[in-house]
Amino acid sequence: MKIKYIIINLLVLTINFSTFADSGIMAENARDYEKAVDEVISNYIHKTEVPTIDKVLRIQASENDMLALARLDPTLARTMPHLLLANHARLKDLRHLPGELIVARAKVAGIDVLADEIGPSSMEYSKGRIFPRTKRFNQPSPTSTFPGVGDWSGHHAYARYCLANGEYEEAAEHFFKAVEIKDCRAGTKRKLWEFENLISSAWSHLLNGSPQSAKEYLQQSQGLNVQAAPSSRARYLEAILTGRVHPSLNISAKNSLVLR
Amino acid sequence: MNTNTLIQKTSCLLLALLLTISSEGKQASMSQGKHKIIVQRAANIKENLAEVKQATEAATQKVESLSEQEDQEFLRSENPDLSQKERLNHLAVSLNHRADVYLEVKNLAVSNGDRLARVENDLADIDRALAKSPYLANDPKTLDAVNQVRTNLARSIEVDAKLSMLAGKASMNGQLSQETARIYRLSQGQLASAIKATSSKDGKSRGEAFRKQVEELRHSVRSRRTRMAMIAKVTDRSLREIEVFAATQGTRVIFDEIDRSLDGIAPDDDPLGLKLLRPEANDRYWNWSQNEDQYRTDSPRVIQARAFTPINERINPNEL
Repeated sequence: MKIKYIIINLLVLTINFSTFADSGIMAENARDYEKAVDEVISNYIHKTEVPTIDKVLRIQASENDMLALARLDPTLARTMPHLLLANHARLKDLRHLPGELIVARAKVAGIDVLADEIGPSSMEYSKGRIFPRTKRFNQPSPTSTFPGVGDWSGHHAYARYCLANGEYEEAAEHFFKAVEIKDCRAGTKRKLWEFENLISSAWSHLLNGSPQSAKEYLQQSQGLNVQAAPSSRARYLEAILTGRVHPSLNISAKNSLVLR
Repeated sequence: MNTNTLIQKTSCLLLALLLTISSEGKQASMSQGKHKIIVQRAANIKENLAEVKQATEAATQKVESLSEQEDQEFLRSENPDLSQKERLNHLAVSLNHRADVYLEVKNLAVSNGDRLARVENDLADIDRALAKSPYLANDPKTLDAVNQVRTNLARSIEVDAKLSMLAGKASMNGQLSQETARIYRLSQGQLASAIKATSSKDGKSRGEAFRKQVEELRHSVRSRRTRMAMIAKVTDRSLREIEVFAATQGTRVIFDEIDRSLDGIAPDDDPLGLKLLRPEANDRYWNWSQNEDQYRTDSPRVIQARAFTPINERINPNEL
């Protein structure tokens, strides 16, 4: 009985406190803004709907209003949410916008989903059937040089360049082409290279406005026997596309998700 | 049961307290409070400066009048047709006027210094209020927030340029709703106006400009206060000098009078007053004494029979 009263009291206090704490005009605008972004992402993931110019202008109008408020009263600037359109949208194509919003939210939550986790250590694969020998390679740097046929390393480097420049369709294609190592059908020993390239390709598809393709590549990556824990960006992508939130994701990452 | 009632009562009390605090917080905003402080301090500054002006004007008039009187008295003190006593009297009056001038200026400098100190304190209060004002603060946190907003604005303006172009095309093709077009145009106008209202020529915030102004005022008040303190010190020094002069001059006059009064007894040609005092006249007294001694030795002393009177004859024995 005593505990019940204490819990009720705490609940009422919390509700009361949060009501007064969020009563500012900036907080109300921020809520509307979050809601509008949620709607764009949700419609994109679940209905593959590309936002209309109407929706985008409304989001930008919210950002304009919040910026005007913050400009007039700097104390409100501290409560202003991160402006996704201003800071992360390229607006090359409206089809890219939902993906860019998802990526931006993940970045704000502390996960850079476009940075793979291949790392600086070299990867190994076995070459030759009669005289098998171990080959090593490191992750190549991004380059604008178009890769030749079968140049899996070149595909990866070019894909990274395309991704950084907002050319998501090409990035998705070249990340996928980088998965298959020409000299070795079995692939790398740890399968991390293949996994991360597939995930990068899936993210590129998501950015390019095709969540279905992203889902397919994600499923493909899950079929690999990777000798490493899945990267947080892979888990974040899974949570976005399937609604399955892995417990390893931190609270801010969970809060940035638009779940069903 | 009693414990439950107690908990219920405590909960209600806590809620009521929280609601009261929250509603009180809504009634008077921080900025309104600070605005009041600034207005009040500004009124104090105005009042103090008006008093400084008024007091200075009054003191100037008085000093001018005293100086005029002093000059007149001093001229009289130099008039050779007057007796020395009269001239000294005029000099004393002139000195009094000079001392009054110094006292007047010293009092003015001290009181003005106090008033300017109050002005400086008021300016410091305004500065503190500005520092905490949500609109004009320039503490590191607020400046950081302002810079963040500036960065966001720069990026947002780029996005706005692209979106405006897209919106224009969409509008031409009839893909844009009237309501969205209106909302967007309004938000653009609001943001542009907000930027205009908070921009200054040198690119700094209004808060910084205001605080710079207050700081400059404080410097100028401080320099005036220092000047007042210096005037007070110079005047004090002059006053002490005139006091010393008056004291030494007075002593000289007294000595002159003493010398003059001595003229009757010991004039300059007889500095020890031998003529009047005739120390040689003492000889007869010496002679008289010697004569007396001789007389005593010539006639021997006769002891009378009743030289000693018994006590009982001198008193009443019944009164013992």
